[in-house]
Amino acid sequence: MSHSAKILAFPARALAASLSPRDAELHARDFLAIPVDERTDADRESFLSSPDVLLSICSLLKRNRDLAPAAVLKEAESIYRWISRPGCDLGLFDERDYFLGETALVAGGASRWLGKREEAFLWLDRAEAGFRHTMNPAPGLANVAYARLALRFEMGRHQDVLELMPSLEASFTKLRMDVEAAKCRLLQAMTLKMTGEHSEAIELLGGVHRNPSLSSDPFLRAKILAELGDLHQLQGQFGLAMAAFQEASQLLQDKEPSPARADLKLCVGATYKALGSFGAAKEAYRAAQQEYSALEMPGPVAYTRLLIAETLLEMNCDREAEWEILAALPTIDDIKMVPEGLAAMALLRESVRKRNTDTSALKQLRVQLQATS
Amino acid sequence: MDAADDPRATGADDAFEREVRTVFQDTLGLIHIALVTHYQLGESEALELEKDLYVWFLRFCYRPGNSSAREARPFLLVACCQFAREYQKYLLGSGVRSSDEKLRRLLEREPLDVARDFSRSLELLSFRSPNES
Repeated sequence: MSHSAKILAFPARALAASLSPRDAELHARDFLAIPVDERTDADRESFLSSPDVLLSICSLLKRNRDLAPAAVLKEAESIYRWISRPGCDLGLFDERDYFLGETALVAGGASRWLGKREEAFLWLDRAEAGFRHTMNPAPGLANVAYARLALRFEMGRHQDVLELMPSLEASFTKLRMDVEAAKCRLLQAMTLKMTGEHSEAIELLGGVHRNPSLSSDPFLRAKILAELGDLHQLQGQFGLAMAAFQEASQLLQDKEPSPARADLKLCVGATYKALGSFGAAKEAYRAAQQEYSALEMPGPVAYTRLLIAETLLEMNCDREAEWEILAALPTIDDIKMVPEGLAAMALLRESVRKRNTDTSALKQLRVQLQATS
Repeated sequence: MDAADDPRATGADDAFEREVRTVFQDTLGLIHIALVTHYQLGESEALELEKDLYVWFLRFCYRPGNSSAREARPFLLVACCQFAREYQKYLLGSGVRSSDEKLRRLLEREPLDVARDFSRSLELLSFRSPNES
């Protein structure tokens, strides 16, 4: 072998071939159109060996993560496994590590939506391991930190969130990741709502939805408005609440089912309930529950069932309330809760068995579940 | 390399790619000096690595958290030093090429540190060009 032949063996030229973003997206859509179970290794080799296509696939998966978390989790896991297999030589420089980080982060986020917390933490550890080896790890690691705080919020670790979120928001601001910074502020406000600091939360969220950087993300803007409306109704400011809900609703018109729209219906239901319109509240909750069901989000479905049960009890429909509770309990069983939640669930289960629903246990269990939802 | 030949130039993301290409071309002189003068690559080897670097840099700029190609230049230099270092180590390790003291010392240094020195040159360039961001 000549010396020049040895030199040419090092840089893998074929890997450097690039596609235009448009072509890459077409290839990405072609790949995602093949059902995961029907994909062959030849399909994976053909599509996933192109970093351009992978970049596009990650972008599509992130866009759909909140709308179809179960399908996205399956996709992200399958792609992560393919990239992480021994001997996989993907892309240039740090690209393999970057895509390991991205696909694991997507899988972590989807697991969180599906209520699979242990899995979500493991995926986030994997994401961190990938991003740590990239050329510019800060954005990826900040996204992982956000996902971990979102999980802590769901586990009721509110003081942890309140302590760490301002620093993370500052990191995103420094990195000029304005959408992520807005998400930090939203989560901080949601945490303040949980700790009863409603005025502080309203102050924190004021005007965030008008941030120009959110103009291309109607779901996030609507979610912010829904939370703002909910905070107003908790303060008894029903006019302001309804105005915020109206604005959020307009943003989600003609959109597919989404957690943002389901959350909005939940907030509207809470407002009706606070106003004593139990029938309308029940309808709004039921609509939210159907939307969560469509999104395959069992935790929020169970939480919404408890809200419906509470409303039915207010309407003296005790028997229907029991059905809702009984339907929710198996899912709640699967969710790891703090001891207070477990005690409330045991009390509630026993009271329903005796056909005399313990309303305070129901309320306590619902409050424990609230963060999860 | 001649990035103007890149077929992406007619794609939908024209403006962004033009910005990346401009930044890359602006930095290419420094990259070439790093590869040829410091890491002692041959001219043809350097050209090949520069093509890879451009393809990588374009995709790198598409990653979340990269607000502008100009601000991503320091990462381009780290990638340049890292790849040149791995390439030379490969050649030295396979006995294809022999090393002198200067190259040996450079290869012992972390690419990040070497790139940091080059980044200072970038800062100097920015200082001299008030129209640049």
